[in-house]
Amino acid sequence: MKKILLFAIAFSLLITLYSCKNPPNALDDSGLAEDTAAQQNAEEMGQGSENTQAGEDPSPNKNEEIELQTDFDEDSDESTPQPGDIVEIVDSMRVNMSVDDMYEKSDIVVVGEFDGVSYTVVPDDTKDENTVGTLFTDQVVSCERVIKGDAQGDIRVRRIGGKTDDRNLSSNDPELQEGKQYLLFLTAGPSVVEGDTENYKIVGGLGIFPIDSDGNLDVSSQDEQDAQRLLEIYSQQ
Amino acid sequence: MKIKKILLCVCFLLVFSIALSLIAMSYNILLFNGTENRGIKNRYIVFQSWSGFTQETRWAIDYASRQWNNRTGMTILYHSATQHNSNYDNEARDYKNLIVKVSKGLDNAPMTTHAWAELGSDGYYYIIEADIVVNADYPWNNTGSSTCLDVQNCMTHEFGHMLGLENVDYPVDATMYKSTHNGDLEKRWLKQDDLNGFNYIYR
Ligand SMILES: [Zn+2]
Repeated sequence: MKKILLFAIAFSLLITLYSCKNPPNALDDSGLAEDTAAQQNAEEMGQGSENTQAGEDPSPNKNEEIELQTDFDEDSDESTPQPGDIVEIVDSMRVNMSVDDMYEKSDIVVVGEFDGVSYTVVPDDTKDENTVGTLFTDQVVSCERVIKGDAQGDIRVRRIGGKTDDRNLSSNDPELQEGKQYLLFLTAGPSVVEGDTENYKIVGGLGIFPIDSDGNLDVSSQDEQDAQRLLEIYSQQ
Repeated sequence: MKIKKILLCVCFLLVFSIALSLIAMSYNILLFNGTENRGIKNRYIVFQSWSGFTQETRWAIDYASRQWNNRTGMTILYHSATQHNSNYDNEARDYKNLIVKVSKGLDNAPMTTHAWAELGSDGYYYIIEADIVVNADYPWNNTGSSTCLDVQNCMTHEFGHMLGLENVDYPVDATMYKSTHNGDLEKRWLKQDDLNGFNYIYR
């Protein structure tokens, strides 16, 4: 009994210590004079990053990136990162949306499974100037049931992010898990390379709901009303 | 009997400390290639805003950056007096930290941050460039109107990404909360969780 007690006390102490690892007032209190000097310095130097990066290789020429790259993720070379390696992130703000809005905005609503095949798409910058500098990953989803719109067989669900020989871009767009089923609210596009069809993206970055192995839809992220609406949509044939 | 009481106390302490640790840990750090970043490499970043912004929008951007500087006590975001004219090619790496406004359609996010980070010899990533894209197709405003998105609100959030923070699911009033809505002003002011995240990165 005493052993259990001692263990419990030690455990709770440990957790308390862990939770306090970042005291809110542990600020860098560099003085105002120093800051002003730094600001003047910064303004004189122009772009901070430009200066520190001046000696390095510039980013690859845009024109070299425009061909469609269809390397499968499994084949890509996973070399160990080295100091000096540069990687990128795109983080997109989401706008709250009701399930009705999501349904309205969707071109198709499907139940489908991600079979694990995905590949990087490098946009052609003559096609859509808004996708310049972006990389996409297409995840192949087999449609099992179409609730809204027209879809058949395999579709590609496109997310921001991808890897090429010289770039590694990640994002906060939803990433599908292999072998998992989802209820997906999708809009067509974007078309970023020649002959680019049957690709979709998740509405607002929010229209994705996992289904467990027993076929139950996970609506835990929604309030009561939207959860109810989702279940109604899911039960539509 | 006594042991039961002590056990109860310990259980309470356990639950309390777990809850406390969850609250303290709710901030997230941007992961580059699956690895945490240690913030802006130079410990300051100079950004330029687009010359087409109205004076009110420039002020909103200014207030958003000052919120981070003032509340963290570390002058890290510098709004350059120089304005840029670029309204395309916004996501290419150009060694400048630009705030641009582009029509990206309502299919795309209202605001996006694109950040580049370099792996340091200590095994952590350091941010060396960041651009913020304002999607012109959303209704923007500087007054918190209930039919528009607020520039200062969203910009304060995006600056958080520029500084190395990731979105959070909780608390819902945090600047780094994952989503926004028309009329949302809550993100204009940093909350303790945002400061905890900043302090973790820049400790
Ligand atoms: Zn965000």
